[in-house]
Amino acid sequence: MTLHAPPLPPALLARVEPMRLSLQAAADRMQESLIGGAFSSIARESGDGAAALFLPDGRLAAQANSLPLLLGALGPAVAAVLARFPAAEMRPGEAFLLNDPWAGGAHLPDLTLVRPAFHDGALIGFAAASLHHQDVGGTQPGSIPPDATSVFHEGLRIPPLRSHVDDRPDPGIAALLRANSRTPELLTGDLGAQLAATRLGGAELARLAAREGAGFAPLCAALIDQSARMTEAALEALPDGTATWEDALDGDGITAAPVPLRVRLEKRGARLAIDFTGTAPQTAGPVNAAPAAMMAAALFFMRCLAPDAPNNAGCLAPLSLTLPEGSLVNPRFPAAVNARTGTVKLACNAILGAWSRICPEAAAAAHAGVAAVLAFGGEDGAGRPFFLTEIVASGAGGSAAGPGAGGLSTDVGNARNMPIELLEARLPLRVEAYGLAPGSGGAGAGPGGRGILREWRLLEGHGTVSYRSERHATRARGAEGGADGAPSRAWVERADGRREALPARARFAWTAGDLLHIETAGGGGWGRPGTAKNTRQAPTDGESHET
Amino acid sequence: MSDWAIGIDTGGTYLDLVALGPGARRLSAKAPLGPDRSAAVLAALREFLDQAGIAPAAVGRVVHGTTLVTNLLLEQGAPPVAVVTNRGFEDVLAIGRQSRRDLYAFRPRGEAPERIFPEALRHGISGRLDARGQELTPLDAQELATLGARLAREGVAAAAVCLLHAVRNPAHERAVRAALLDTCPDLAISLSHEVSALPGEAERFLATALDAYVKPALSHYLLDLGAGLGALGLPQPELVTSDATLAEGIEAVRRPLRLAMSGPASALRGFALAAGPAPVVSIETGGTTTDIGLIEAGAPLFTRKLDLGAFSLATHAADVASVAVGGGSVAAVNAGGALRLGPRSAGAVPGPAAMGRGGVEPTLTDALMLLDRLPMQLAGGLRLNRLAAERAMLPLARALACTPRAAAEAVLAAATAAIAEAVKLHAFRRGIDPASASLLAGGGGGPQHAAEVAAAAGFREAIVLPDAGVISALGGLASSTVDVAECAPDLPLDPAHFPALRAAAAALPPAGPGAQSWTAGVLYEGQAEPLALPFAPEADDACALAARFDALHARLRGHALDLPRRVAWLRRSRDRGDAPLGAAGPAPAWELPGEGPLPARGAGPRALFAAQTTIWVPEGWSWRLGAAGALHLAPGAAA
Repeated sequence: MTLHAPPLPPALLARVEPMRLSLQAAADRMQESLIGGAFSSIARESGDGAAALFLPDGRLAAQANSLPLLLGALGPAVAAVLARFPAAEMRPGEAFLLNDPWAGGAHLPDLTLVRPAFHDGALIGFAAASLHHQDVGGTQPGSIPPDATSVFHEGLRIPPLRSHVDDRPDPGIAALLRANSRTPELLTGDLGAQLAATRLGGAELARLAAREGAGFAPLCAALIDQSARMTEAALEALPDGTATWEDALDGDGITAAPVPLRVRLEKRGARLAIDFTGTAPQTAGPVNAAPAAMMAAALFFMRCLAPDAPNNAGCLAPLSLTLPEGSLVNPRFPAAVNARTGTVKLACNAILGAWSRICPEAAAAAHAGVAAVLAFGGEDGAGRPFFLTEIVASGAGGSAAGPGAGGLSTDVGNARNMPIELLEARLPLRVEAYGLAPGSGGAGAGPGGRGILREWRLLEGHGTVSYRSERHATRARGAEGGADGAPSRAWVERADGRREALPARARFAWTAGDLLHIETAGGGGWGRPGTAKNTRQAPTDGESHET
Repeated sequence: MSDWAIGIDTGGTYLDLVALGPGARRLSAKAPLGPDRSAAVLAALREFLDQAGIAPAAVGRVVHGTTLVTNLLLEQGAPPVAVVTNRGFEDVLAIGRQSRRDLYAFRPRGEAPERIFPEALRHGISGRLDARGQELTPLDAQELATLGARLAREGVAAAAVCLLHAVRNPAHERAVRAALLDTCPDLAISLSHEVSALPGEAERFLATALDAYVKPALSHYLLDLGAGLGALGLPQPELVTSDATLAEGIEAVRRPLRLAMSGPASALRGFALAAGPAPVVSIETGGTTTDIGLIEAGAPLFTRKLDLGAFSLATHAADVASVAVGGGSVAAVNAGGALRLGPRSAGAVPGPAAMGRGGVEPTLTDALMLLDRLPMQLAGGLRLNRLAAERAMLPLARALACTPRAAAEAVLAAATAAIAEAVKLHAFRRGIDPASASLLAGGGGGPQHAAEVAAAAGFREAIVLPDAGVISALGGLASSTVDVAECAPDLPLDPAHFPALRAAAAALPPAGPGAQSWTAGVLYEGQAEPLALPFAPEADDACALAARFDALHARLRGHALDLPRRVAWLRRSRDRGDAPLGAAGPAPAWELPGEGPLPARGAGPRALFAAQTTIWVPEGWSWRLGAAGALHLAPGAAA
């Protein structure tokens, strides 16, 4: 059982909730400052960055509301900094930088900056900010090479190091970073945004320490305790049990052979063990997920159990997480790790799937969990270059409460779509259809949500399309007698009418008149079709039933 | 003889009324609201006119702010609407932006309110335009006739016409409306290009569907109200829109989504009356929420993305953020043994325990009652019950292992922190530093929290206006009719394209005489959200506009970028200057019922029980009466 903090003195009772609100708001303002201040479009427009505050011992005090994919990514970074740089020797104005997947990093483009915060000369915590940078070197622009087979293909690896003194970047390190990026100006600007966010966070921490005086540390401890108690209470109220779930990636980017993933959940009282033993060994291709990336899959589940609990280290108190070394989910050096998102999503949905077997009534059938990434590049009829990246979501699982949502970003992702009116105004493409893929949701009393159907026609010029999807070879499984969702599929219809099927990962050339058709997978169905009990009368915000 | 102008604002529980008359007379009143809104408004008006001795013939204007549209959108109880859209795109509304708001849920939901536009009512038709508005496929007249007959047969009351690229060429949407009206003459129809002039189908289609959704109910309400006002011999109402301007009833029914933030926008206009050159953050605390508004250089700040409940609406509106803290917010202890305030509210019924309408759960109002910060009797005559408040607080105190008074203090501290943090975030987003801004408080509950919120958020002082309790009704009277025209040129901001930008501005329908002002939405290539900045089509050149944009970007985001810039939209507004209330004018004097006039200075701790609101002056703080009756609260001794 978890050890809980001692009860608070009565005088601090009224300060707990203000402290929770202030810490969360400070982290959220850091996040706004980080994303608003970013230079590169990937961070600015897709919010691919995270900000959080930590206690002096490295425990998470508050993480901003951001992309769930980055949940828990900063904790291992702070731990890695503390493992190399004793807290007692840190000085105000210093900051530490890293991206090493074997020392607190997730993948190389995510640089994490950790800055200690002081009040009255004493260390009171850390502000940390991580941002997806445009380019940190490696074999391909953007530093996410799909054919990487080693971290050395992916760019510059940075172990935890002291990057800033007196809030100024160390000139030698700054020069080294710039020399290793194809976009040195963006890198410098984005690192500046990270420093600004961590300074803001540090100032907020100091303000809170001044406001609460001697109450500051006990209040922080009480909030971590509160989160642990809430998560434990949520677990305690649910049935005990053990379940496993198996699923697979459609290849590792190098070969199309399925990469199996296995998870076992064991829930006893207020404790939960998540064990990925049995998952495939690490792959040659870049789909491996470092522990700092895998934290998101586990933490996502803990947050679902108690969404109102403070987003701090307490959420993890009931959890034991096993990531077998040398596997897809904890690869040994020097594995390639840049394309970890698909793996983290698969792992997150596997946890949810196993949970649906332990606690069917409160859970849902499997989400498809597909976020197909399409990159269109080429030249229009006048020879002007164009480029566009889109992410297409899929279907959520049905449940005892009714149908699953169709065409929705689920689990650790939350990507938005590209508006058709803007796309057609900027690119020589026309979207010929956009909707929910007919019949793609698994049948059930609570049918699975449908995947998305989208078609693009190239109107002029020529170009290439990179298509990265999942679930061409697998299906989101139904639960309690519900049917599986339909798999993803895609094809190119050439101007002359020939149709060429595409695998889950493909790169192809096309010319004016060709059409790309994709359908993302549907969610699993819940319960045998036709057995719904009153769910149809219950108003839901979800889509209509499958016909 | 049209000497009087009357402002009426209906909130969730109360109706506020302000009347301006000859010789700068200003009267105000508050009345409880019943379920039949138009009847309640008419009854309150009749009673007010009788008591004040004002003849209906002497009333020249009736200005009305209403939460009707807001409530229709939040409650979602109205009949669903039909959607007419391009074939192959029937699910655009259901998918929205494919993102979700609640990140952590075992059963994730999209943001689209599908019960408002169910799949069976979403109809695809022939006809398609390209991104320049050129026709790719024509409409099919036979198909539209069949669809119209079907809608008539199904008894659909409202339809949203949502066609791709309609903002580039409205011809198809107009033709669809004409065809549908042929077969369904009573159908309420909203066209997407009339609801929003901006590209981006997901947001525009949603706004259009919601616009159609609220049309029938608003239309009924205004017909009833208009008839009743006519019978009383009063003029037809002008409605306050989300951007704090006035619209005639018929105009409001044409685009009812414009009323989504009617009340908060009126309040912001009321606050702006008292604002000087320095930035102002306003808080207005009601029964369920606290609204936070921003004022710069005496004018409200606006947004194009309005968050209302679960919706993000593409509509031009006062930039008012809402935090779920109000007098009725319920306090509870959760599974972690921790106190939480809200988001649930006891509302008006059963209401806080102290109000004696059957509420038993402890609310913020009950906490204030226990801390002796409320009068024994509220404006409108309701007597408060301290014992009931204490009884409600007991279980909370037991769960927290403290006294009821300590529990009340914890509830209040939570309310203060929640409002203060929301204020800081909202101000931060628009580049306003609380240290150099004022906090203005209104609403029934705002002045109660003003000083403590100011202290927690870092303001130097808080200001309470003498009309704080009826600030929305007053703000309606300070609003004027504004004619707006918009277009979305989506052009690069450079000297080569500037003539085209001027041409786009010149192509807008001609404005009437009078002063015009322009704003432009500018962004860097690759960005999604433009920033709004002032624009002068004739006087500006590309460099001037670009420099202004870079400066604003640097102020809000910390730096300017070395990227090409684009102009996403232009907006021209012409203020007719017809506001019933020009300037703040002489304000009513502060009166403490039973105690006489408010002393010009004094020190806390003290609760000032004014007629329509209570002002709390904390220990170590003092108050002083300033210009136009504004009550200034600041830390330190009374000077």
